[in-house]
Amino acid sequence: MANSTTITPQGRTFKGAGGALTARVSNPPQPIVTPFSIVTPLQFPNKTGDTFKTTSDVIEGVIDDFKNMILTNYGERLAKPDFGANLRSLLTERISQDDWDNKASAAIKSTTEKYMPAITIQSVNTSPLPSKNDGFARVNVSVIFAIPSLGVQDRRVNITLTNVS
Amino acid sequence: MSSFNLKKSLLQKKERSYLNRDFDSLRAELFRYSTTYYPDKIQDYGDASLGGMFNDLTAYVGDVMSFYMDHQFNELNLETAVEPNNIERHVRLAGVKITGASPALCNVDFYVKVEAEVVNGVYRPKRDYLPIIRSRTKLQSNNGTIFELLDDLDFSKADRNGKLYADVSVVLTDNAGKPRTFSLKLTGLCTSGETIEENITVSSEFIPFRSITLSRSNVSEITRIVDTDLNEYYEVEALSNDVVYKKVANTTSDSETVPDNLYIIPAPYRFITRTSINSSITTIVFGSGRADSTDDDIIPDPSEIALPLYGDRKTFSRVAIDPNSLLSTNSLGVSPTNTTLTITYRAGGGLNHNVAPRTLRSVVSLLTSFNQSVPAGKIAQIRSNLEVNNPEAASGGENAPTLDEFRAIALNYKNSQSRIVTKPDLIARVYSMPPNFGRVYRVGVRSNPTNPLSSLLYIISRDADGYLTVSPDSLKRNLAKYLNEFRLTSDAVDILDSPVVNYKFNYTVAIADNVDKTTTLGKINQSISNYLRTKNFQIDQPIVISDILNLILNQDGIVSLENYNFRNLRDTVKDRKYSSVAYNLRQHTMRGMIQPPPGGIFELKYPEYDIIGNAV
Repeated sequence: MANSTTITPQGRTFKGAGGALTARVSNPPQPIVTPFSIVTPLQFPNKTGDTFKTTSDVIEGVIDDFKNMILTNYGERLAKPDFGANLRSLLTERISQDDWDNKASAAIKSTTEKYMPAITIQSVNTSPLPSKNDGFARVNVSVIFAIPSLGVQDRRVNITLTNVS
Repeated sequence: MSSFNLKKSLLQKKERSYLNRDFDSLRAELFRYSTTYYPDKIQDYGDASLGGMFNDLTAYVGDVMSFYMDHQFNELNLETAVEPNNIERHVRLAGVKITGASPALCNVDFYVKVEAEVVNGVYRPKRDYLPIIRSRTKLQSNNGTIFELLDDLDFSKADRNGKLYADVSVVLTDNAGKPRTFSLKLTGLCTSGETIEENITVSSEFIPFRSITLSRSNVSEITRIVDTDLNEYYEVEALSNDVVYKKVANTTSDSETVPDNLYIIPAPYRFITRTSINSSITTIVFGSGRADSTDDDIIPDPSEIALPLYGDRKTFSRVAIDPNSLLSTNSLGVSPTNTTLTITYRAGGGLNHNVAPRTLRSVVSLLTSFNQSVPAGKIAQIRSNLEVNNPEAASGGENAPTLDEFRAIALNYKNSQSRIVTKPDLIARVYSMPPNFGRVYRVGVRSNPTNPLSSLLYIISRDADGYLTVSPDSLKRNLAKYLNEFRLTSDAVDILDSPVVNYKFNYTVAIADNVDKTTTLGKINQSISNYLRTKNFQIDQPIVISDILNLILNQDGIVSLENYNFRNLRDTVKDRKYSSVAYNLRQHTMRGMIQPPPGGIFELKYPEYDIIGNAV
């Protein structure tokens, strides 16, 4: 479109002032996304302004916290020496599979009741993984849980435990 | 016009609480702060979340800092400090002298045997053979503790009549029953621990406040420090003290009661000691001045503070002057350089040094002096026959005080001071004078009615028999020099003899028929004698008559007290010598109490003669 020039009686020109109405951009309202928690393992954010990558999905955040808690051993959390399921100490115990299951289940339930009472443990299953002949024990822990307040049922998390520090 | 954006200012203002001190309150505040001001960042601050963990970390740091702030604050106070080094500094600051284990003291009997001689038909120990047992003679107890004799024991020392001070007894007689060998006993004060001599080479480098650490722990006293130029270093309380007291043997007629005279001498070569509570190791700290420097004078020169007027200057303004510059040097004593210090000190002590009676029996190192005329064989014989014994247990040995004990000592010590301000200060200072300079038995202080800035200090001593006697002049001179160092410049103290009032007490009682009169009177006399004994009386203390009457009436068998009276005794009564003070006791009886003369003291000198009871 060619620019038009209008000369006013006072001799002023309005060349280039303003714009055509059709050039306006209409931005639709964006939904406000509030981050819920920091994602682990820590990652750089996708957008500038944040320190770490976050998630706005409450369920994803809670499950992330839950995994971390199960992987935490006693004494690892500052100022909360009994925080975590303390499963690493079970790895080297020479006990039967049933006993191992019972002990792991009790430990996970105990710490969940104390530190994440919103979660209800439905079942805990463990299975030793084949040895890689590197001297380390590996156990797969599968926990099925529910978060009634969020309407979550029968969610499963799989965690591989090892005594590699 | 400047516009004020209220909304913006409110948004920017973030309320912070500074009241939180522990982990839980800090964490709660961090949670409140995060959720209030950063709700758009994250919302998950549960225990298991990463946000919660960051909060925990921050609260932990705050808790640790708060703990150390409390800790440091507690360390500022002696009562709450827990770190040994800080307690040690507090104790030192309070003026307490830190010591290690204390040595035990013990009176030890020394026996020597010498042959007899006949002088004017009288058998006596051969005077020429009598030895002097020197101080630092070492004894050993059964448990191996070493004791040292503190003062020389001169067995030949005699009084004006020629009577030996030593106890003399015959141990061997000839066939005719005449004495052949005498045993002489003198008692000397011994202390546990050992005297140690260390030679320390000091470099030529000048070091202000040079410190030297002694090799042995539990040092009880530093006896002497002398350098190669024979300069003697004196121990002072603080390096700013530039004089010390020195004892010099008293050669006047009252030397029996006052063995030494007190002199005040300048101490340009001086040191202080510091003992660690932890290790009981002692460090000697010298001054900061150079002995060869003209800038740091050893002796102050008051003329140096004269105000100079340079050139054509004719006037000068008012200036402030520090009077201390007239009294002391800036050096705080001389720091030794390029010399060798010979340090003699005593070390050792502890509870196990309180050895039992009759356990100090062996002599480890015997130091003696004999008359030059004594043959070597005789000297060897007398030395080999020497015996020692401690009739009583040693006492005073203590382990080093603990930190808590030092803390308690320091808290009490804060009230003490090294100057005389109040009457109790003056009395305490008189009693603290070392006994070598004469011992004052009782002290009384009264205001001087003619001079408000002067105090009248009444003193009285005791003679060898324990009776009150006028304090010797040497003692008063020593006391004057001693007190002068602690008195305020504007104060004056007049030292006076306390008048001693001797008296007798008569009483008549009616005694029941069924009790023995003699026994009853004896019991009453004994109880009155105990009550009126001199040690129960102070200067200016009245006799409370009702107390004595109570003693009489409370005796079993006493029916009634018929009469009683107190009467002054003076000069000589039936060969018994009393003081010359004439005093009318009846005139000075008020409200049931007999008041002594101003600054006076009552003495019931011979209770067996001066308490007379009659029974009817």
